[in-house]
Amino acid sequence: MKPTRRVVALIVSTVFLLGMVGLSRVSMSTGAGAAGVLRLSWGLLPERVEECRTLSEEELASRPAHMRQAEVCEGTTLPYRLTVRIDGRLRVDELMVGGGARNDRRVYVLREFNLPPGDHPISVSYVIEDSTLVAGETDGAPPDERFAPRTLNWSGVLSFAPGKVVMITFDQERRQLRPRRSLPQP
Amino acid sequence: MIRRLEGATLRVLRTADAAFNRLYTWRFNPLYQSGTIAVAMLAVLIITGVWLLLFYRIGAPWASVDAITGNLWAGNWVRGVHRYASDAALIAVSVHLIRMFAQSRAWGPRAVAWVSGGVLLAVLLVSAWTGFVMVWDTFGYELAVAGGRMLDALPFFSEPVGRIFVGEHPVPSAFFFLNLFLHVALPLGMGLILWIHVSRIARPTLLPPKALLWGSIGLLTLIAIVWPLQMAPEADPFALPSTVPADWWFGFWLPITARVQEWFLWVVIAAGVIAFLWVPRLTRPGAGERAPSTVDKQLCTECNQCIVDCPYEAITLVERDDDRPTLVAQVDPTRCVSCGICAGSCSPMGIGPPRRTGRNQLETTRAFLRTHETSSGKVVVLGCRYGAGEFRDTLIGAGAEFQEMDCVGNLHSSVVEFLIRGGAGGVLVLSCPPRDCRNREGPGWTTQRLYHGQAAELKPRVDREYLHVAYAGAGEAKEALRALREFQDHLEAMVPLEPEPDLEIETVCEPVALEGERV
Repeated sequence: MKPTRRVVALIVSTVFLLGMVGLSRVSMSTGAGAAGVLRLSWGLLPERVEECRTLSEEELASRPAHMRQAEVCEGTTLPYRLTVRIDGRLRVDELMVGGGARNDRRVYVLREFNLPPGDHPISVSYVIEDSTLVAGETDGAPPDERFAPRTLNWSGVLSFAPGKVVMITFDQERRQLRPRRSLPQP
Repeated sequence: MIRRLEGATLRVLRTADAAFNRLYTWRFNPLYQSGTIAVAMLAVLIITGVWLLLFYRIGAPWASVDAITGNLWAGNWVRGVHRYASDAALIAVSVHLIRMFAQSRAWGPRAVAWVSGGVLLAVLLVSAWTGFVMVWDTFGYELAVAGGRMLDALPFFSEPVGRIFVGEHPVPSAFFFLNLFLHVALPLGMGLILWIHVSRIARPTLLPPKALLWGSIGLLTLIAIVWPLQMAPEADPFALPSTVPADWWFGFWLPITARVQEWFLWVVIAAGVIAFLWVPRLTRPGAGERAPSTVDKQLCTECNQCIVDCPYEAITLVERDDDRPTLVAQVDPTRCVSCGICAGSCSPMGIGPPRRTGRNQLETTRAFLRTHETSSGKVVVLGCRYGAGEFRDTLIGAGAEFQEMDCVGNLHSSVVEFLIRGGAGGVLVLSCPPRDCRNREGPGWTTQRLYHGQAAELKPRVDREYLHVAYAGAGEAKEALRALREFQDHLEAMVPLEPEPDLEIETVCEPVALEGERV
């Protein structure tokens, strides 16, 4: 290779690598920025309803010895209705069921709404849907603290800044929905 | 359609190859060395990665990388080289993949290399994802969130992966531990896949020439020092910047995820993977084309040369089924790509693909001598169909005769002797550049056979002054023409050889009696 050719090759290589490095340092638009974001995020176990009955002597006798359990329970998990109103307008009205094949896993809620900067009245409700419960019973506590409360409501006015997120999430200690603007302190 | 795509890609590649050859010469053409550059960059990534690993803390990912970046002497430039080497590796792998596709080098036994190469590319992308997420800056956060969404579109996870990053809880250290584990384990796994990738090649070249190797590493280091990396702000799920400093080589898919549904992306990826896996089948030659080599057992002398020369380890010696005491060569059709290099290696012309054995070549040459004006002392160009075959008319227009070879690696040295003794003014072997040979080692073995006495060697009685070997790719007609003119000028000063009357070169060896054997 002639020296001049080497120099040209070196210059071209440098330019190519600078281009490569440049493309690895270019800003990318995220699509966020001008708007504020309302984020709803929680994951709660749906309430489980069981119907138990005692087996008769005949039923027990008909079963193999290792299956002779006096009481058998059949259970199902209940769905929850999520409704979200922003600025008085209904944005979400959705029935949510638990995950998994038997719908007995947690119900995960993760929704994001881009909102113009400023104050916005927000209303969020997450209520159990069970035809067997009469009015008033939906406010009651679930039979077990592992399950989601039967009713979760939060409403208020939230202020949104550009590129900032306000998250409404479930407060485990108070067992209610709460807005948050930063990571929880460890 | 696939052939059209192949052809279009090949045309672009030829032009680029020719331009790069003019600039770098074929020895250092980075397009020819794309595979070895990728391996070299992987080595750089591992070495610099081990150093960076010493200072990385999974309990404080961003802070620890910030400290590394702040250390200009032993941190920032190492991190820069690590990052830029990953970019270079991605480019090199992509070029290598395109090259193999354009040159139709994915079918048959090469499918193993094709598929494992695709896996290497996928692992490189995933490994880079883990690397950028490790930093836990705004770009890492964008990648993590988009990756989480992609995973959540699959029905495999009992809990949504993306929830880890939404800010409901701090991202657990276990995530960063798993991420770090993957970032270390995946490149190590790439070593294993690389071994599979080259497992069907007899003499894989893993690193580029030293000048290219150290030149590229040196330049990357220089750029990393002169243009130091800056640290982006720490990831914060509650702050969404309008722009993030991004590596487009690995973040190219982020804008797409923001615009289309994740399931649609998975469909596109799945379709891409299926198409990729289908390429070996789609590019497979038609029935009867590129059939594997066969062995004439009567001619095989167990000399072992075809086994040494075969670039794909497709030939072995096995017991004979007749009563001769020697072993005999056997071709494994599942490994043979019909490159024909064995045809040039066999002195008694007992092996080669159908219609391309040494005997076939001599028959073709005999017919060629009858029909062409070699007696007028014209130069006969023996050219590779993938290279010089593309501009044969230009060579003929410059006063040469042209005899096409499938690959000059097939060339049996007796053909050269036959042409020179048969009246050709000289023989110019126009080969593709060695690193661009579709059959890997054709030009190298041909040179060894013509000049360095490797079997099947050109006999000493042939005057090498009437023979010349030159390299020219398909896009290098000018260079080939220059080589032809220089050779023609050289021959001008030589005494023209008289064609031998009734020339005959035996195409079949006379059997020689072994000790105690009757012929």
